[in-house]
Amino acid sequence: MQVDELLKPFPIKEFHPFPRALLGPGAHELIGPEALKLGFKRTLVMTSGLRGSDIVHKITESMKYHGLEVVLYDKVESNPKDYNVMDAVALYQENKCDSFVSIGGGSSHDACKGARISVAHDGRNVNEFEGFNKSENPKNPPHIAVSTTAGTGSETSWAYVITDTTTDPDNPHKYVAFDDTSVTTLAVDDPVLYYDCPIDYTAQCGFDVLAHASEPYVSRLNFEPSLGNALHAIKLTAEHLRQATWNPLDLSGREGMMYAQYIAAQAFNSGGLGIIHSISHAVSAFYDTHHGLNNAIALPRVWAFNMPVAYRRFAEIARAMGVDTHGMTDVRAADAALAAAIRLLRDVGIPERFVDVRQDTYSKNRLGTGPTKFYEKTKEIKGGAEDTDRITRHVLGDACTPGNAKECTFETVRPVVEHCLTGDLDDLLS
Amino acid sequence: MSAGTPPFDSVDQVVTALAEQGYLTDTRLATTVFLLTRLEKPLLLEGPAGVGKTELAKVLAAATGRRLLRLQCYEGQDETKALYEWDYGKQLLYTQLLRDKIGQIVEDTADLSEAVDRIAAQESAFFSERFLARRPLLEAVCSPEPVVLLVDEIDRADEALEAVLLEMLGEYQVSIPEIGTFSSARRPYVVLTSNNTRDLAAALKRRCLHLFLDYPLADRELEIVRSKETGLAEAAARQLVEVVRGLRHLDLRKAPSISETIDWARTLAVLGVAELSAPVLADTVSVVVKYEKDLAKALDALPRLVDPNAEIPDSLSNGHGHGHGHGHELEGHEVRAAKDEPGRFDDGYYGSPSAGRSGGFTPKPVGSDQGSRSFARRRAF
Repeated sequence: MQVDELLKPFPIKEFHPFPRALLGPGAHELIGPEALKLGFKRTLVMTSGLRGSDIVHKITESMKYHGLEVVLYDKVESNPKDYNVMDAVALYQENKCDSFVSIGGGSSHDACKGARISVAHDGRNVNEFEGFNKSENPKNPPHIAVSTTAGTGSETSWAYVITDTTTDPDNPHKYVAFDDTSVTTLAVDDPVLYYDCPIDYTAQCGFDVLAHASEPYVSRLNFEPSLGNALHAIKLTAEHLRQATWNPLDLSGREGMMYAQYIAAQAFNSGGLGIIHSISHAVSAFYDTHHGLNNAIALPRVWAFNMPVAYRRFAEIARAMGVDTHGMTDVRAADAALAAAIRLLRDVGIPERFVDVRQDTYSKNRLGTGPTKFYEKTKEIKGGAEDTDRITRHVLGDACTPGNAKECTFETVRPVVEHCLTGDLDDLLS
Repeated sequence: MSAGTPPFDSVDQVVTALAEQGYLTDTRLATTVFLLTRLEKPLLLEGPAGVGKTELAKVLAAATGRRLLRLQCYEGQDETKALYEWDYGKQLLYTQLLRDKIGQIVEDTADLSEAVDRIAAQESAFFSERFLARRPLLEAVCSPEPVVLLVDEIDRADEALEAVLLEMLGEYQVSIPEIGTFSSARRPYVVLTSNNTRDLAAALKRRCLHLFLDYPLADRELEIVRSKETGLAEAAARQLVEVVRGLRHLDLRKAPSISETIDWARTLAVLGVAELSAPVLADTVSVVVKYEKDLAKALDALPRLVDPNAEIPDSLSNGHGHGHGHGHELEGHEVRAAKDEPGRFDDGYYGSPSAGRSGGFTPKPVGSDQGSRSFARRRAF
């Protein structure tokens, strides 16, 4: 009884250690040897295809060179859909594979994590594992995750995000599943692979990192072991994102973002997330927009929303972003952090409102192709009251919402969502 | 021994007499009350709050035509509040008014010590019953007409007060050092109640008849509800009694009492409810459930209590996994909509404020304008 009172409001925390990771230029060349060490024989490689690059080709060839059999599933869509996962599972079972390699950004890794869990449960629908540690079989097939974008952190985290298109096709749902068994066997982060990442993706993924780092830093779930990582990831992002975006073949910018994304994931893994991610999941559930882009648009609004409960933390963020806060009160410094984030967002050329996001031939300002009936009907983000309500409801149901720094209700979150859709960022500047 | 004839001839007569006052008893309780009137021993009633302990004293007074004296116990109460105290103000006033008389008495004394002696001889004039402020216990002993003394919630009083009570309960007398001992001419009927928040002294228990009063059986509780003429239809009342009994099994911090059952029945009658359903019970359950944690438990259990085979609506669930079905139980859009319910992840959510505690997620209430205020505030900078 007394213990119960003492633990209120924050009970015992859980720290999620990371898989082994190979970090640094050239790390991808070790995939073959590492796979052999892990006992891979016939491997399902899951990827989105990485259009315009030969990364997948190079890696699969290198794996074959080491004597591995490779089966390729390269149809993972962005915001991976449940049918991507189940198709991959079918392919895995048909070919009697014994292991996974995922190459790409968060979509490839997440789909692959879902597929592993499904495989370990005799092909049960991946949607059944939505929630926290729903998987019952601790033994998943081994999995090497190779990152090609500096943003996701999925190669090292215990979370994966899947879009559920089957439950209600008219109204798709993107969920986060947290599962200790989904953690990969080996993470490979090689900045050389980032060279091919388009600059708008680089910028948007960079904001994914900033969201991964800043959300746990102010989250109600956070605790000491992950604070340092969060803050340092913010610092690295502020230092390197401009360079990585505008000078993509410069290694130092790419490498800085590699470390930033890696330790940002370490921060949110144990420290929880917030409604930047909830909003992001909701918007891409309905409109199939890019996760990093969504995070970038939502980030300044959610910071402004959360600031009143965590001025000191935001003041620290300002310092980490290189703002000279000398002589500033915490409140002023927090505002300066927001201004710095908005300046960074504009410097790397990210759209500022969701209604500005249009479908494009290439990835720029990408509005996805959306597989669902919902998308066929709407096609573009209108930003009206209906949109706002729909997104707000989805936000409240998201697994990231309970961790948000500030308590969330429909009434408090709706203005934030509305502002993300149609608001002007200048409103937020002091 | 007391004068006067005992009020009841038989146990049955107790049942009838109390029923006339609107208090339904079983024979166990009636027998104890009968013995109380015959043996003239105090009766200690223990049991959960709201089962009718205090009420028994009240109806006993009404049924026997006795005056009810009530001592409500509380922490820090001392004997001056329970037994008697000297009315100091009155004493002082008399001294002032009688100053001349006092002057006359000591007028012809030779020195101070003789004057003091002379005054001391008059002491009884000032420590007499005239200046005694009677508190309920002394009042019960001294009262010329017969009384029922209710010592309510004795478990809240300090042990010191319990000791003070012993003389009263054993001998029906109160000793006042300055005056002497008062004994009662007609023994009061004494009813003590305790909610069992602490153990009472063995000495106290030994002096009393003892009865543990628990929640009544369903039939009798229904009868009680019926007798209170709540206006709730018979079938609904029957169902309500079952629901309340179910709630009592939930290990709540404060289980619903009989009086709360009656309040609930009245509430439902006012709302014109003819048939109980989980939603209407959920809307009114705060009549019987008084703690936030209890509320969450109650809301969770209500649908099952109303109908053990009920499909539990998600609006009433606390996120224990309802709505995680995959199409075979509910329509797709319902499943999907259920996933937008806030808090559905909270039960067992790692590190969440309520993880590991039952009761589920209850966000703090926030005014509908708070979001726009705290968000729009930035534009006003």
